[in-house]
Amino acid sequence: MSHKLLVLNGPRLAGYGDNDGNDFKGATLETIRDECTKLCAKLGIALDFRQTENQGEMHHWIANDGKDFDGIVLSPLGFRGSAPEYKPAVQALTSLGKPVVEVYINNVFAEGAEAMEQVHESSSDTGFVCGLGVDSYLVGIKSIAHKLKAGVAP
Amino acid sequence: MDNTIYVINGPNLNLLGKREPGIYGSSTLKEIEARCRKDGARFGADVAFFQSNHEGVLVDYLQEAVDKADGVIINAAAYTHTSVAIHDALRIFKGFKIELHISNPRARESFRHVSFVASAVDAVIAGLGVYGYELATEVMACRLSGKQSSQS
Repeated sequence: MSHKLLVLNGPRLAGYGDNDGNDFKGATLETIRDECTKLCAKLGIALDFRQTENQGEMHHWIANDGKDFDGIVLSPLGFRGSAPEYKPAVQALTSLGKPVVEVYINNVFAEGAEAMEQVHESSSDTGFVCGLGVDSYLVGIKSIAHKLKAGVAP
Repeated sequence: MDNTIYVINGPNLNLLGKREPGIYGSSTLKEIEARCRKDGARFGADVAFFQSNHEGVLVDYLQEAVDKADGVIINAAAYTHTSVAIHDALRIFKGFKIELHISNPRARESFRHVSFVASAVDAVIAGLGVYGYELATEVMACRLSGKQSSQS
């Protein structure tokens, strides 16, 4: 049975092809979905790719649906201000041994970027990737696939 | 090879494989280097690995990279959280730069939550274990070879 990956996207991604101040012109939600789909097909992983403008829905997906998947890629851009609400839900997943990687298209620490608080904490299974454009997602997916194949361990 | 990637490693990373394997894994830096060289070669990139426990030596490597490297991956380890000198040296290097950590510093003690490196690089990869080195090398090599994404 193949592994199942959940990729969750928050708001502001629907407009990523616009002049949103990002460096990765062409990184629209559709290109991200396409690249993730291609990579998961190559890796033999079943992909469930979702996006929402609604904070509550995002939280529901993490807290309720996350446990049905083997790994989660979380792209919460736009929800950064409410990050503390997600921490318990993310920790619940990582305590089940599920790898979670938080990703951003742009470098969220670049000069001028808002200070951000990371969504999750206190788990060796959580990862973080930012600033690689679409590759932020692909690196996150490859990392999870590698962990699932190896059976764990850093 | 067309492109050169400098992978610069900070203090205590010479003890990889022996130091806190539950956090840092059981691979040595030499083993990681060998895997990264293979990954880089797939995209025509030469990978040069460096490690020092001394802040000034890391600055020297970064200054050397200005003329000798096309991309820099830096795991400054503990100096990530203290070194303005490394921040300034990174700003001099104009190629693509990735900050890399084996563990996720922001998931650990609060004194690791500040990074003087993050605002001087293009991208950050953290908490993906030692496999993060290979992923960083692959995405860097791919980018330097002109590809849009690292689908391979």
